[in-house]
Amino acid sequence: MKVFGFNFGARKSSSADTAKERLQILLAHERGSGAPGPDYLPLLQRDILEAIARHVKVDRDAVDIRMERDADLSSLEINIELPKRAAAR
Amino acid sequence: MSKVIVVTSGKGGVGKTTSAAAIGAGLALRGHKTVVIDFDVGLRNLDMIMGCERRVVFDFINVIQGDAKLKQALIKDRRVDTLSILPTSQTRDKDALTQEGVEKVLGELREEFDYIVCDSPAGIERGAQLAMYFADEAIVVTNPEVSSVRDSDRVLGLLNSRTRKAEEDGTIPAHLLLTRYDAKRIESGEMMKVEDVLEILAIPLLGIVPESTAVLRASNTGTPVVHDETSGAGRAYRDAVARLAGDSVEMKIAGDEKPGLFQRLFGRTA
Amino acid sequence: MEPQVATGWDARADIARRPLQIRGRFFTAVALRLGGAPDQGFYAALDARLEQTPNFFAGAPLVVDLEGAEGLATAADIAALADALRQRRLSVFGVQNGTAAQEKAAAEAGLIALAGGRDAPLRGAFKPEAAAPAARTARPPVDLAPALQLEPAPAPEPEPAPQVNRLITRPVRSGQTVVAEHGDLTIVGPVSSGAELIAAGNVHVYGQMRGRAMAGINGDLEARIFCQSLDAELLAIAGLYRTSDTLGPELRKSSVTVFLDGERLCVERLG
Repeated sequence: MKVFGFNFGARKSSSADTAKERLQILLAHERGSGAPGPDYLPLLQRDILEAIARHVKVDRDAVDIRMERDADLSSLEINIELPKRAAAR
Repeated sequence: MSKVIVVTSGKGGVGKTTSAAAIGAGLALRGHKTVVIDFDVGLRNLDMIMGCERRVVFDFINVIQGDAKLKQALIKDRRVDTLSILPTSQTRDKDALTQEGVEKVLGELREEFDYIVCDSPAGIERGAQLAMYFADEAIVVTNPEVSSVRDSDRVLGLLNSRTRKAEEDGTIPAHLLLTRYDAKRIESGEMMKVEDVLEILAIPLLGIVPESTAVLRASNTGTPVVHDETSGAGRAYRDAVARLAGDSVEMKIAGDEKPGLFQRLFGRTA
Repeated sequence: MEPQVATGWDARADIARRPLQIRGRFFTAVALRLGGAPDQGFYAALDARLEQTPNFFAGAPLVVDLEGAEGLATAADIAALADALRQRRLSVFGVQNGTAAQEKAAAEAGLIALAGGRDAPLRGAFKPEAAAPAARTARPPVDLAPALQLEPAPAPEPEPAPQVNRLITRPVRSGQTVVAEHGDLTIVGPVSSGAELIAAGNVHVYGQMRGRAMAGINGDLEARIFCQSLDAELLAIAGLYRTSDTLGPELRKSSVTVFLDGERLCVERLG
């Protein structure tokens, strides 16, 4: 809006800053992990499941992996639903 | 009963992903269980527009290839709890999409969601054809300029020959979503008039979305523009979604409201 | 921007600059089916047959159908057959349904090998008063069946298939091609820029016509194009065409009929 030209400029730069920050985080991850993208995750999931399977029987569907990336650190959250009997044991 | 809707255009840069995100979010805001799928393999963008790029673990391709379960790849939206996003892969290419794989994933999604919005890649190649093949309805995103209109026309031809719906019924319902509408440029003759576009494409008009800084701002912050109720674009998408859901809403071209400077902070317009 | 069907340069516009014209054309030929290697009995039957209709096959282009005539294998045999036929005023120019060896032998004898073709009723120029019934009753050892030898389409005048018209009631979009192979094509709805309408007969468009229309693709000079609102990229009848550049702005968006007047493609306002 031209009428708000002065304000518009300021506001635009603020949402553009947000965009820049988001992109920086994203691209840092995509470039940084050697192979671009989180393609190691299926393998990681398999390894974790194998490790657990040595001790308890878990359903492959019962694994929930969530990721949160940030500028400084990323967190990987893995929830594994254990079967009732295994949990009771 | 679930509905698969493809958002497509032929031409790139007309606002497909913005529209898919806005319409998906708009349907979810109305209480429908909705998922938006990114079909643009290798050029993932929907996650950025929806603001969930940092939460992508598994993607559509992982699911198709059996590396992950569908529920592991679906990302729940943080603003609207009836909305989910199925991101695509940034590392693979479009050959990773298979018709059987797409059919299987859509079949599973149909069991859980009311609306499945497919964000098509640009062009008319394999990726775009797979995005449209299983659709029940189509939204054709068009800018009021000749190349976009022509590409949309081409896409309408494909929709009416290369979709399962058209193979069965002979035709697929298609809606026109006119985006980047700029009244001044139309008045000056730089852009095509709405009635001219409608005359050429001969499909019903779902909405007219004005060119708006709100769209860029929405992309920057990763918030579908439909959440921005002060912007003409946001309201235009809400109206379009209402029409898509079957409401009768008067067609008007919404300008941006001129709120006080204080209201301009996003999301403070309760 | 070449149309895909039989085309010619617009004589009116370009003939002065171009020394030749190329057009696809379809001709009817007679196919002579041999029951086996030609012997005395064959020639006797052929002569008897030709006597029934002395002028019917005179000078007619003729193709020898070698199906079932494996005995006829050397170039000398085929050349002898060709000579015998030419003596009977039959203008043999090709063979079909031969083995690879037969086709090679035919080539040495100056005959071309043709693929495809389909049977057509004997009509038009070839139709003598009493000939048709005789032609149908005669069977091997001599079977003279007229056949279309030049793929892919039917002959210009002896229309082989009954007229089948096509009606489309949906918009024809850019990139789509609608063909009415054996009749008229009627479109009720808009035709977009980049769409193609192709018909053996007339083309009618009730709606904005922005695409290309080709009528009379098999050479029907009487075919016409009718547009309710003309904005076409290309209009062609029997291979003669005009593009939007040569159509001029004055008829744009008006209802027109398009027809051939000799070597000229005319566009005339309706009503």
